[in-house]
Amino acid sequence: MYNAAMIEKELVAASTEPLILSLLAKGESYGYELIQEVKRLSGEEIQWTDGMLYPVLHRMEDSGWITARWVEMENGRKRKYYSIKEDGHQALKKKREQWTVISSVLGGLWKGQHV
Amino acid sequence: MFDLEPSITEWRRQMRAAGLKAGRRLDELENHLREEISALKSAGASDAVAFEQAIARLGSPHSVSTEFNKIRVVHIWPVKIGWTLWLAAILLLAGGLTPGLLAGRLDFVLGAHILSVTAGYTGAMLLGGFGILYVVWGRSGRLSLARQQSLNRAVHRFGPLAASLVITGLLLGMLWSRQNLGRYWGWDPKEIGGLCASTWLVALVVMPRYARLRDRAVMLLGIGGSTVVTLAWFGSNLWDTRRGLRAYGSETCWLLAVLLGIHLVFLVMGMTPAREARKS
Repeated sequence: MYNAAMIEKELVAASTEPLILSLLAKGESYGYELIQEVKRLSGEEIQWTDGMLYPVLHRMEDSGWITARWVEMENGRKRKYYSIKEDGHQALKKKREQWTVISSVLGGLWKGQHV
Repeated sequence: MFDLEPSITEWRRQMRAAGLKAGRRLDELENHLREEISALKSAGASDAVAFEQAIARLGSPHSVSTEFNKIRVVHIWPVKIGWTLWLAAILLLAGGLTPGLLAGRLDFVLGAHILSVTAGYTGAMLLGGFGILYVVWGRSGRLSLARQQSLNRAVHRFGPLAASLVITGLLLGMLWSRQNLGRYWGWDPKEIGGLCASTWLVALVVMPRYARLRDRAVMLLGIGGSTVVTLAWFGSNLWDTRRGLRAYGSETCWLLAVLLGIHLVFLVMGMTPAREARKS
């Protein structure tokens, strides 16, 4: 079946930070889980190259939007959990406003149009 | 026969060879790799297939390393020199105050006040220096992305430190004033200057977080902060001299005029539209 909604990589890249912030606003998580959650929510239409997520997470950590802690698992290995900070909530608020404007404009333009 | 552990060890070696340093970043990626392998094996894949698919999904060592390198902020030499000189000056001042404190010639609260205010004021003036560099490079078209990022990070990290030091110094000054003059606050020009500097520096820290300020506006706030500190530090001496309260201010008149002139020139320059940052 033709996948009409295979999302272009530029759009995926632009949406990465708001997606991460939105997921972390729901609770603490780690890289692998974030990727699985995005796949599930998008019906596998958003495909991140797994290794590309981590530089973004680290950049957001450097920006003070998110924070991280290492948690020891049952098998003795350590897993890095990320959580959102107050600055991250502020950044998410701004990004949400921006995406809402874009969504609203496009929604208005496409209303009643058949593509 | 495929053996998973040596394969993961080899994958780590390739990641290091591609420029990703061994450490927490690599550990995090390895955890991810292992979780992916585990999930694929649960879905019925063999060890070899799961490993191959997992490293393919993670991305090549070169591409992952390249992405990590993009987020690395390179500190430019003026920032490094500024930080080093500031730290050296504070250590020298602390060293100079210590004998007096140990001998009991200098009150501890007063010594801590001097150290804190001096560190905060010089820090704020360093921020102003970074702002001036931003303006100069912006006007001359030499504001590369690396320079922009380095100056931004310096201001965002140094601003809260300078503000905290000035506020701490102000509070310590109030405490010393209460202990020695019988009042916390006397509207002394230095107290007013400290209050103005604290307010400006707090605004420099808070405003970029809650208002949509562009980088240039933050840098101009930095130059403005340095101007306020110049007035608080040197201007209050002059003010006191005129009122006859202190006698050590008149020689700083020329210094104040020069410093204010420099700040004013760069503030005006910064307010005119700058060229866009070049990609580096």
